[in-house]
Amino acid sequence: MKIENKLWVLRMALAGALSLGLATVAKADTRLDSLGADVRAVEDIDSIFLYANQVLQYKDTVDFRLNVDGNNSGWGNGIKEWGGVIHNFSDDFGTVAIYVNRPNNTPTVAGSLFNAGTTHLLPGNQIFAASNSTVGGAGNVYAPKSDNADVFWGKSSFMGIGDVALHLTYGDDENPVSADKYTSQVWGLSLGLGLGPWMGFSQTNVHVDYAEDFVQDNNGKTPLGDNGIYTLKLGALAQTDLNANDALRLFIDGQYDNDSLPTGWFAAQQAANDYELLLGASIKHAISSKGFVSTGLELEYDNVNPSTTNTDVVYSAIWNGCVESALTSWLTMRAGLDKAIINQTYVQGAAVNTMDNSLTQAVGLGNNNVAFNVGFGINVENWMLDTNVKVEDLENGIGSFMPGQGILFTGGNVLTITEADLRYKF
Amino acid sequence: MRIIRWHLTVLLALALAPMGVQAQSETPIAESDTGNTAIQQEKEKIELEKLQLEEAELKLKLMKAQAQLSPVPTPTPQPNNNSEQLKQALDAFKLAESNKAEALAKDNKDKTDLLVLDLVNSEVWYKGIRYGMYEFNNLVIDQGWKLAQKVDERDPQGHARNLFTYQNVSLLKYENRDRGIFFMKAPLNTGDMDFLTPEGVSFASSNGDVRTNSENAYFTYDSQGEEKNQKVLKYRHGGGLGFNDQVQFWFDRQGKMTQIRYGVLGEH
Repeated sequence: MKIENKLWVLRMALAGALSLGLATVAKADTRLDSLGADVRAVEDIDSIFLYANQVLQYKDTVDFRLNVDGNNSGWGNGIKEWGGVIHNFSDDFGTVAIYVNRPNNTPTVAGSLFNAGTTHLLPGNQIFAASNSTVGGAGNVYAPKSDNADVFWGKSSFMGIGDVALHLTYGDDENPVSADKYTSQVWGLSLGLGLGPWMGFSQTNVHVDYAEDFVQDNNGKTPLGDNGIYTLKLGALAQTDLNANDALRLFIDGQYDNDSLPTGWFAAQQAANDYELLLGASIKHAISSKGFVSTGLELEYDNVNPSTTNTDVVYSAIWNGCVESALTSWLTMRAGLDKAIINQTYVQGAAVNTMDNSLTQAVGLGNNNVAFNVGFGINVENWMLDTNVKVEDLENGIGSFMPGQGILFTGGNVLTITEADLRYKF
Repeated sequence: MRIIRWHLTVLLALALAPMGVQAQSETPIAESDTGNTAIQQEKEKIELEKLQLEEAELKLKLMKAQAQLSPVPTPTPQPNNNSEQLKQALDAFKLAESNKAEALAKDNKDKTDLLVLDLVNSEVWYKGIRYGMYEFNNLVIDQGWKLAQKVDERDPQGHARNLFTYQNVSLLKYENRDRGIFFMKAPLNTGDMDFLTPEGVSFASSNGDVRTNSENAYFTYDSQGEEKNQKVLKYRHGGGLGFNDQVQFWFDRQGKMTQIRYGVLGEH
């Protein structure tokens, strides 16, 4: 058997093992939220925050996010939006991007399927549950709510390696005279590599990230510093074309969080850490050149070790199916469905391990929940507006449709927009 | 008074039209005196067809002038009819242009390094075979040539903007859009392609040749600009929402054409 054939069989076996259908959980981007898809599963501009080298592909873009943290969490109302600009200066100098006010923890559609609980750090904070996570893990309550700035620099064909980019993050919450009297400074550095074709894959990407939060307790006479609040991430994503219309993606992400506060801390001493592993696959089927259907599956293992409570071990699997199709040259419609296939949390205490059933249910929802999303995008010349629609209103409109009165005039707003991104290519 | 102005304009246009035809027809004759390229011989071949084409253009210009001189509705004018007539005249022009391109392509079907460009109909001909300008990649594949392809960039929705390249010819096109940008650089290496339009424009054409021959019923002159230390002659078609069709001819300081760019040049 030729090597190419072996690789193909290997890829198909991996796809079969990992992908019941295809694509996955969503990230903060409005388009991905409409699809319910993960940025690892469906190509999107949000990939720059995971693989910094992707800024080279999304060059010359102005990117405005009109919601507080994406994912239907309310409009910015002119004072809480976030966004940035990506510009390619030249092939020699490379591409630079600057984003401001980016939330430090952005929930995804998949994350909404889980109940974070009140005394546990997980679930609800899995890798797939947030497009970016709080430094040190979900237990770090001192992290700034948003980054002051995210700065990227990328260069293609760098020293024969491929596409290389660095991503520097800075955020702070410095108000020691406030009621809580804590200050926080987050610094992060990410490296993204685009290695191009490799091992039969048409594209491969690798990322390595380190971020640290420097927290200080100013309640005592002498300021007290933390004992180490940091996050280390490592991941890879590869894509291969199965045929002219189908592309397979395989990805893996690992993360270690440490959140340690010293004795004497005003609130409470804490020494928590967690490690998480995500495996996923997606298959994208192109519908001519006007759209695609994608399905994917993500499996995640999480182990959280807080010093003050029992250890949580979480197993979860998320399936997503989504479609994007252009209705006209300027209007595109999207829809996606997410389902928690597996959602189990085990509490490992001093006695017998138990399964915490309360954590398998999101608040107000049943066990192993479903999330459905719909949205549309408008393109006029180089402007793009992506929106997410309130599904409840859409379904009420469809349900109360009466012939002769029109579907858009059923007594309520059918197309309530809950989320939007505005972008311009230059 | 308005009717008198219209009649005067029509008479003036009719009087000037033959002069315009004559003036334009003199350019290729003057160039043929230099007699140093085969392409100029092609220009002479198509000159007669050109006169026929310009007649259609003049009819269209007259109708446009009529429309401009009658901006206020009166009992007799029928805007819908004028619009329909303009559309019909433009369709006739595009058909005539397509026929000219086809004839030119068949005359040159033995030339392996020549692309006949029909800029009005967004078509490219090679060895007498018609392709859409925005499917140049298919032409390359069908010919069994080596096509270079890479993702040049992506739109924010993740759609790839592919750059297809063969020799000195390139096509830049988003995977989810019908149109793109087709461009050719002046031949430098063995195997590079030349181009020829039904109006006789090629890489051998001067700035004056392009100015004389490139404005027509479809493309209107836009401007002459300067980019990357080169002169750029710009023409466009369209005006409303959406990208216009545009064509640009780039010239270096010595007046030599270095590049032709065609398509939705405003798209990023």
